[in-house]
Amino acid sequence: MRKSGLFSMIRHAVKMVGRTLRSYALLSVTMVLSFSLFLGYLTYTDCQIYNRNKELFSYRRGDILMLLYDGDSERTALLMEALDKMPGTGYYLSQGWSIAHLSTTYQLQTDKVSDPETISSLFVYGLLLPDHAWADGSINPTAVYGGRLDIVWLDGREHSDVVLARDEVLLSELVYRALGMAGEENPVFHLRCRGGQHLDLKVRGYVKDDFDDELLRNGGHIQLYLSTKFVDFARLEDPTCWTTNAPKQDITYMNIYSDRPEEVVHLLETMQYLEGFNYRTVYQQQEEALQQIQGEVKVKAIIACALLLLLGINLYSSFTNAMNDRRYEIGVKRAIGANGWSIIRQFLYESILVMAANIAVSILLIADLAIVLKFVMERIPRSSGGYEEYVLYISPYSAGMFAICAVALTLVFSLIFAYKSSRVEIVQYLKAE
Amino acid sequence: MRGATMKLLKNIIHILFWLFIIALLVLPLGLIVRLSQEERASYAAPTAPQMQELAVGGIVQSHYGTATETVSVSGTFVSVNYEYMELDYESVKDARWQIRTADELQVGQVIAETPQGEIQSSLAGVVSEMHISQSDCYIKVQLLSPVELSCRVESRTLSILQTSKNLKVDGKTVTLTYVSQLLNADGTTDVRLSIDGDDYTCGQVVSNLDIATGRSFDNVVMLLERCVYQKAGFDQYYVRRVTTDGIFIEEIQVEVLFQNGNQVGLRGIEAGDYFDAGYKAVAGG
Repeated sequence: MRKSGLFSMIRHAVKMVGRTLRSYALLSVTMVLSFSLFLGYLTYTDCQIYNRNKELFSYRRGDILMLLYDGDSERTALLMEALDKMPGTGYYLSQGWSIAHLSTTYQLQTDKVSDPETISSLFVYGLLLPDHAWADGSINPTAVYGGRLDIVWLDGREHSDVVLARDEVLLSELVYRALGMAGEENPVFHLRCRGGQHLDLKVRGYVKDDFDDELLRNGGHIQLYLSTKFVDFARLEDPTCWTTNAPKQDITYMNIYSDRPEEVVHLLETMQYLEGFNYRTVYQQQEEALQQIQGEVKVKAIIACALLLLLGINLYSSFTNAMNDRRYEIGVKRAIGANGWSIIRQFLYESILVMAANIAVSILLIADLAIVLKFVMERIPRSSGGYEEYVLYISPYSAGMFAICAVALTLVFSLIFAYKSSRVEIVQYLKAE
Repeated sequence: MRGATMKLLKNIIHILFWLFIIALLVLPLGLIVRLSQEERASYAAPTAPQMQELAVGGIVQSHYGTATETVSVSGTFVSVNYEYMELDYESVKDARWQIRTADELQVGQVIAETPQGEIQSSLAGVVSEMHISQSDCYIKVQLLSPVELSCRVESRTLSILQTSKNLKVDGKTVTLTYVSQLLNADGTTDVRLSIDGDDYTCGQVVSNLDIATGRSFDNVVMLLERCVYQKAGFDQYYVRRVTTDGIFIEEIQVEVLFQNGNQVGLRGIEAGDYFDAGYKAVAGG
């Protein structure tokens, strides 16, 4: 009996909302805008925090990249000795060498077919990594250290382990595509090494990157990933090999991984290596990012509180206006014998209905705007703050804040609306009419 | 009476209603603050583990020892005497010279040919100057013996060389013959040392030549020289005391009493303690 009474009241509330649509429409505009602003702010803040930091937090916390210089071999030996003693810590050395010029003139394959260009004099920069570093598959020491090398194999198979022969090479994706190797069955990269010898390297695959081929036109260098076995193959250590005028430019990197990177950094500080100059750590960068995020979360809470208050003031004023529009109706109902409780229930249901509908509309609106935001962000160049993949994200905490605000405001203003409807003084109102 | 009670009840309900509404409005503010605290806690960095500073290099134990003091020097043997070979201008003015500055000369070596015949050297050495176009005609020759060791030494070594009365290398007496009044940019001073005998030749380079100072020390705390270091810009010497596990305990300022080969005698530490033998490479001196 009670259930059917509730349903009939809701049905009646829906009917009344339909009848006073104009009055509720004005109220709804305010509500949708207010809730959308609130939810939009939370969503945008969370998306920015997430996308700005997702790459950094995908890195292994224990990665440390060091740059080693010639003439510091005693200190380096001591460092390696100390690292050997540390439990849960490993390292390997890799070298970056400017090894050659291009041997042949390559046609640069670009989208602008009408503007063919050739490259023939770029430096070739070789990154020489030991096999176990590849097998670990974890570190790209020059670009985004701590990031994984995303390798595409030309044989189409999955490789859990990477062992390159001395005459095999992985190109960067930019080079692989720009040199037009994408259509070739067994591509070969021709090198004229600095000693003058010509080397043909079998291209086993390429490492994904997001560089633009403008880099090649503007005097960039070609990046090759090679095994350390290449050193013997190309006679890189033979000083007579370096006959060109260009400097050798070799750099040695020490790639350290530790379960407790703080202890490694403590050791580096003791050994007077300078942060930012001699070494970079993933965990310190992550901690800086976490501090920044904490600050942003605090600001988010303050702004959320302010928006909640503004939203409350806005809703109060809108509901008061709606109330004034319905005074005549209330007066008539009371005059024909409706009791206060039935009026309260009617207006409570109506306002809950309207609030719920408006909150739903706000969520849909923000969901649509978020898709637009994703579309825009993925089309803005990365250099201008865009993203290759923009992930839409709202944290459970933000969702919780919005839910709390929505429920609390719905309850508060529905109750106020219902309560005030029961407080209309019929005689005074009719006299005034 | 009943009406007044009802009115009072209505007023109480009215007040309670608005209090409830205010509470409902304050509640989400409190919940937002609470959620924000939770969210910030979820972004807290992991607590850094308690760290112990470790020895950079190997661990070396200090010990009592008896040793003679030595100082180590490196440098080049140079000529210190010269003579002039006087020539008659009239006889050499049309000469065809066979030598030039920095050439080595032997006694009897032909140095010029003239219409009157050959001119031979009367001295052995290295030609350092040739004045042959004026009436005052001579050749300055740097003699090949005796030779002295020219080297750069640190202030501590210089002090030992100056105060020691009985400097010896392999039983041969060493004499400090020259001390430059100028200080080099690296804080060292140029000195020359004369060593008895003719074991060394002009131009010979020696490194880490140990010179005994004649002083000996009994029951002195000794430590590997690699454990003792200086900080940039300071004259004091330091060592880093560590535990047997290599955990750093403290940095101690020490007084270096003497050096004997790769060992130094120190004042300021106890025998039997352990020290870091690697930090010198880090400190750079």
